[in-house]
Amino acid sequence: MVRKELPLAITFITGGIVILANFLAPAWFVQTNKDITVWYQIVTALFCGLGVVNLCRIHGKKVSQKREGWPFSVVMLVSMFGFMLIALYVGQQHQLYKNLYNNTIVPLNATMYSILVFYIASAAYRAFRVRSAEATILLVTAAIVMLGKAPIGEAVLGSWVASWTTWIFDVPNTAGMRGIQLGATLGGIAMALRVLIGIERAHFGGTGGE
Amino acid sequence: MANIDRRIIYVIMMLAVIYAFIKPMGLPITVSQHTKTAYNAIDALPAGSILVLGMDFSAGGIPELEPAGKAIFYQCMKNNVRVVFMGMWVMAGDMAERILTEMEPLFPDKKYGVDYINIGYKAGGAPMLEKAVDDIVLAAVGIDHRGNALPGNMAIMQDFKSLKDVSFWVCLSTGTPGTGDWIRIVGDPLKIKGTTDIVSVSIPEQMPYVQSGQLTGIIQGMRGSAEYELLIKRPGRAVAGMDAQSLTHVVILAFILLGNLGYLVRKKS
Amino acid sequence: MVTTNWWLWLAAFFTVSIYTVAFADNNLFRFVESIFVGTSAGYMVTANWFNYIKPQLLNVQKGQYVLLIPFLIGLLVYTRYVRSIAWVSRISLAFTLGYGSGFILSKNFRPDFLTQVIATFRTLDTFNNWLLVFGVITSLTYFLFTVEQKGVVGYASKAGRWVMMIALGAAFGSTVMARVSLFLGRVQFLLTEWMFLVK
Repeated sequence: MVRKELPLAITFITGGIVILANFLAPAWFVQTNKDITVWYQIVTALFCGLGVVNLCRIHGKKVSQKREGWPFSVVMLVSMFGFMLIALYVGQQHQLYKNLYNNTIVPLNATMYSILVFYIASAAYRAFRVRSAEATILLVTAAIVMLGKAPIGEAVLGSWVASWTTWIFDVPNTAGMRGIQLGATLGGIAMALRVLIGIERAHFGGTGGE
Repeated sequence: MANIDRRIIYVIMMLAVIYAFIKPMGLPITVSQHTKTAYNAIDALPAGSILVLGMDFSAGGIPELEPAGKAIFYQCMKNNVRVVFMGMWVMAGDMAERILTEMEPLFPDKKYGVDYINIGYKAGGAPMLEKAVDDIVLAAVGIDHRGNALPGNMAIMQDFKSLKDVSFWVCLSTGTPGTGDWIRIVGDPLKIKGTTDIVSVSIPEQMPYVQSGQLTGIIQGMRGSAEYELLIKRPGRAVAGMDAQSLTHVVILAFILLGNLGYLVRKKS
Repeated sequence: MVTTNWWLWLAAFFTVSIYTVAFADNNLFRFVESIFVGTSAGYMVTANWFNYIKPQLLNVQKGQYVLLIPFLIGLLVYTRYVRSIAWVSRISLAFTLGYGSGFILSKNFRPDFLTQVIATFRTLDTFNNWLLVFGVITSLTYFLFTVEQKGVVGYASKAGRWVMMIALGAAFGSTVMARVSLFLGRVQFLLTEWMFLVK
């Protein structure tokens, strides 16, 4: 009973306080909402350790069982704890921390995302076909946008490419995206309501009990 | 034609980019109305007012967002507009420090804590902004990115007690939390104008906010950053990247064309 | 001419190593990938520690003992790793989801729905404005699953699909642009800061 009902009650009460504070604004609710906003900040900040614990569990097991690729798990664990130890020891303002950030975190993070350019180019070449009217519209629009947003389009084809690109973004794109956005907003609100009144409980899965 | 090895595509792309950087073509860049609108709004801010730069991006957003971030900071310092860096993304504080490392030597008369401040990353995402609307010191747990106590004796904090004291906001964003949250929590409820410098991939979904007037113009990715650099008359990395951007787009379009030609020929036969 | 700053050499090594995966999966990439995952997780923890957790703990030390409650709620999430008391972690989730749901219900409707609808019909004095209204209505019709898509609704739905195809085409073009920009950023670093080939 307590395993199921207590979390649902906490969800309902917490959400209820936020809603009442924002819509009806009685003094007690407004003040409580201000306080639990700080609580929310603290709780979410503490969640960041979940990633570390999960990585330790998964890769720790891999190392202890000497499964395929275990040396890479060692590298991962050493990098993680190494970075944490150095950062905690020297602090955020130390030059060593800044060098580590600018020459390790930044290049790794930026390059890892940038390799997508190869896959997107290869995928566009293989899959972007004029198979139907809709696919042709999609391809032609994408081509105009790519030329209109790069200076070469305007330099070679003239200013119409840039004007058409602006028009595509400002009119049909805005219309299409707004249609999607209106639907997504209503969907998000419906989902929030389902969570609040306890209809949606999937997020409690995997934590044992009822 | 429809079955070129992917590695050939990669090599040609790499070569195109390297060539464009080494032998720049200097293609002219026209400044779009959206970038001009954002620039004019910031330019019209009176001296002494406060602009917040929301550093809501990670390292992946550096090529597209950092140049405009630097340009906006430069413009503000020139116009004696005070700047507050803060963010909902973990890298916010360090990203701001990257900008400040390059910009601080250009403005030796501007002082940290007087003309600008780096509040840095604070946990909680959008609710953190909500807290900052109420009280910036509480939202920031009384400390800035450099470890100084807030408000301390920093002059800027005397006039910046909450986000209500801000004249304009700019969100440098790669996703969520980001621009939408600034609109929902600061822009719309407080009627404070703002804009976004957004990564190209997110431009389409932000355009409805531009049409509705919830965003004052928009700085669109690396191209937008290049345009902003031109507006402040200080061409930098974004402008330098535009030729390479052009050539890479042409290469990708050429391969799409080739793939389709192969597809059509095969379909016919 | 190459830099003598070994930090930049390290950054260049990471950059080039990651790009090798575009040609074939290899151990050098997996090595650097492991460093990426490790340092990113480490960074996440230290950034939260310095910028939020540590200063809040100092507040507790100064006498704000009520803050121990959210610290307790936050730490309860780690009970999910102990099977017998894993259900207790639901309390942390319940709190954050309750707050988050209330927050969405309070904040999103006006700017993301009401203002958007009003902006659509605000002025109908130009062709583009009419086109915008047409585009929004037909796009929404496409998602109207409770009505059979025949006749007028069918035509509107088809038009909506075309409008969305233009939007998605723009999105694809933008995505290519974004990925290219990221790549340019790294090449720019290699050519400018590491190799001094470009000023």
